[in-house]
Amino acid sequence: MIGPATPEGTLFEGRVHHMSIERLLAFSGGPFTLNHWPARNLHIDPEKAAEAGFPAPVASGLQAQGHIIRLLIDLLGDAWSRTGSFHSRFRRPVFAGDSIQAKARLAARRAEAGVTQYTFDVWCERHDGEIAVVGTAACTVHEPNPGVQAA
Amino acid sequence: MTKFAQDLETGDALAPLSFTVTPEWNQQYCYAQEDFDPRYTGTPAEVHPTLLLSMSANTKSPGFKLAPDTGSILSEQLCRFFHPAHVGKRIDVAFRVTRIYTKQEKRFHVVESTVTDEEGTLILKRESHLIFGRAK
Repeated sequence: MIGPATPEGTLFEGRVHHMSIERLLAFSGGPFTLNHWPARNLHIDPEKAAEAGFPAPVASGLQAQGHIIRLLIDLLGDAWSRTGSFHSRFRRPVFAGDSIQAKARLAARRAEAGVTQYTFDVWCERHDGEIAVVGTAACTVHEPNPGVQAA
Repeated sequence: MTKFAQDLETGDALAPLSFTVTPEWNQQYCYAQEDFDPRYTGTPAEVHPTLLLSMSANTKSPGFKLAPDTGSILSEQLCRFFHPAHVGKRIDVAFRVTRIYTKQEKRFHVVESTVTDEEGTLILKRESHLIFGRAK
């Protein structure tokens, strides 16, 4: 659980996610109601991925980033969707079949008059240790924060 | 005539996008992310943030067009969330090229996406740094 007493430097880890082709299809294939679903793109189609020089379909960077956002929502609750900000860089591709894990380290915590500003270093790590997405995130929370869950 | 994405200039707008998220579409993203938090499945249900990010990509503009045999890569992104979006409400996305710069001999386009709901509430602002290149 994160709160005004959480020490700076605390590391939070999301669960490990297997990026199966089914999950990639659901994310990047377009709505299931789409005519001729799924859409053809390098995120789900081996042929399109090969045309772009990749050995397998590449998950959208937003899908990996989404796992970081999920971790932040678990930590910060409703405050995230009202004051959350996220600066990210996309470093390495995540291929269909890879596993990834979101991580966040509390970089700074500033509390004043019942309001706490949290800043995190965040990243999403592939199972081989390579960093797929890296960045910083920030959120302002009015304490006590009822939306916070145990991480 | 619609320009190719890589030919857009600072200040150019891409065609806006409007859509309404159904519970089924939202749950598709919940499945993709293995994230069935009740906030996305209850009543009223919030739109999953990855669906908002996905639909606010410049590639989702009805006017997005790549030149033949080229592709675009998202290298960097800044997103700011202002309010939850809800399932069943219309969502509008406006796209504009706000900056073009060169770094390490690569040309980057910065596209700002502004997401609002049918009541005009600001939901999300997103700034995407994109590189265009020839597909291999």
